[in-house]
Amino acid sequence: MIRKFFVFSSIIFSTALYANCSPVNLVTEAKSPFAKIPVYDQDGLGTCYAYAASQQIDYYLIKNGGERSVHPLWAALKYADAKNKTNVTGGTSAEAVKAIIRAGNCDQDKVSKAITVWASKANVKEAEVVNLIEKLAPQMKSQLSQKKKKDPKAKGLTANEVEVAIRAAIKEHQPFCSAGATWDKLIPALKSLKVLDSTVLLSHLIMPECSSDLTKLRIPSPTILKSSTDIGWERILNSRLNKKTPISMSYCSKVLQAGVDHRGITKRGKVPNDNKYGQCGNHASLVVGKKEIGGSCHYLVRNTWGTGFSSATKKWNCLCKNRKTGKYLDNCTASKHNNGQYTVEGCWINGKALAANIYGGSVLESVSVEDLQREVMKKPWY
Amino acid sequence: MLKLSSLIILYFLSRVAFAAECETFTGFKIKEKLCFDKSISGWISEKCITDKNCLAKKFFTIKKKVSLPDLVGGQNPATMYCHQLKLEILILKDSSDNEQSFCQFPDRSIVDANAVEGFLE
Repeated sequence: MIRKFFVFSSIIFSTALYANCSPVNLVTEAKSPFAKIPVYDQDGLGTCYAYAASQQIDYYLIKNGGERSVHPLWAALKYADAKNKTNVTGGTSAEAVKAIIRAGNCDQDKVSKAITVWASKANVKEAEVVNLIEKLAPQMKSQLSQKKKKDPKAKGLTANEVEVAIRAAIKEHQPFCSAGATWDKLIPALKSLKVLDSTVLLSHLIMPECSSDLTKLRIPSPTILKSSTDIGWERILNSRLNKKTPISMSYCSKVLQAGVDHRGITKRGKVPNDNKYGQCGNHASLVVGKKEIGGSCHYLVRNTWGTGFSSATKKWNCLCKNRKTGKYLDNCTASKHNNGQYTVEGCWINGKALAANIYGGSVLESVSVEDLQREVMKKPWY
Repeated sequence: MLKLSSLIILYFLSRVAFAAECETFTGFKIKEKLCFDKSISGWISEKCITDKNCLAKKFFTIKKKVSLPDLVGGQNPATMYCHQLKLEILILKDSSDNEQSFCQFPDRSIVDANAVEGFLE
């Protein structure tokens, strides 16, 4: 009798869970904002959270009649500002969204233009300027600490010492930088900045363009998602996707390469902080769809590792777009479709595997009048 | 006569069948026509399709062992292989504004970072 009860209830439970896996695809739906948001490639920058945040905001803005507006670097800078961080590597997208709401937004074209000015002076790519700055502040700090060892009363660096730090940062950056780079042209301007903080340095780069005319974004504060179980995460993804809301998730990206059996999270309630790619590979991406494949729920993950087939797409069915016609091709695979005719827009990751590797998430959702009424009814009226 | 015309048709059919997908990608101060090379499963500079001495193409002749560094903040693993090989990295945009990482060799030839990653695996 008890066994029958368990079998019956597990059938009901699993049916209820997968009934929620009715198909949703926020990329291919009519007038999808994702048609206006490119698939990014974050390269060697550790700012996945900022890419997720900027896409999440842009999705919301476009959906509500606005334009694509947020540069991922702006999201990273404002996050670092808010957290008093000295570099832009690593963070959470919800906090980056909150930081932009508080600080306002500098339009993505302005941010791009400002970095381009510096990149153009040094004859390097935009991302390289950011990379160099990330290396510069630690160099300056190390110069200062060496100086303080010799003279504990020393307060700051001289212009010459700043130049030594700049040259050391350039040397450290050299193996990765463009041939023909003319970093020396940046030295006078960098010397005048004389600050020990990457975030401040980057802000100074952008500030001439972004010191005024910041736009207050009309977006809701992010709702933080939490669950202490894998099934809980599946339920959260399903319910949010049913409301047509993309979810920004923090997860162990190793699951993308390792496949369904990978479990990057060994203990719930704690952010895996291994930094070792072999164990977790802390990452943030958007979840933008769901559907059933082979009897189990799969989620569409929009990554920021470019549009090609890679080690991260090999094990999954993906959503592709024909480069010439713009038509979507669902369930495309690396083995059949890696022929240059398609871009990869996202991949369908096994639900159980993904849920076992999620450790955080957030959504931007408008609060409906019905939701507000429900909340009011919950509270005592006296 | 029939033989000749069928040979011509065959020739054109084979050209269509094996024609590489090519597209112009743009980046900061760079515009490069790349073609998809099925033998390496990735995009490569157009000149490398015919020039066997192009470094980007030559790279795929000898297997190398390269370990992936620790990744922080969701860095793209394919790009990090370029870093490990001390190659330059380019982020180029396709006609739809989508971004993609490429490795650049000293002779300025360019290849898809995903193809490099796939070859090293």
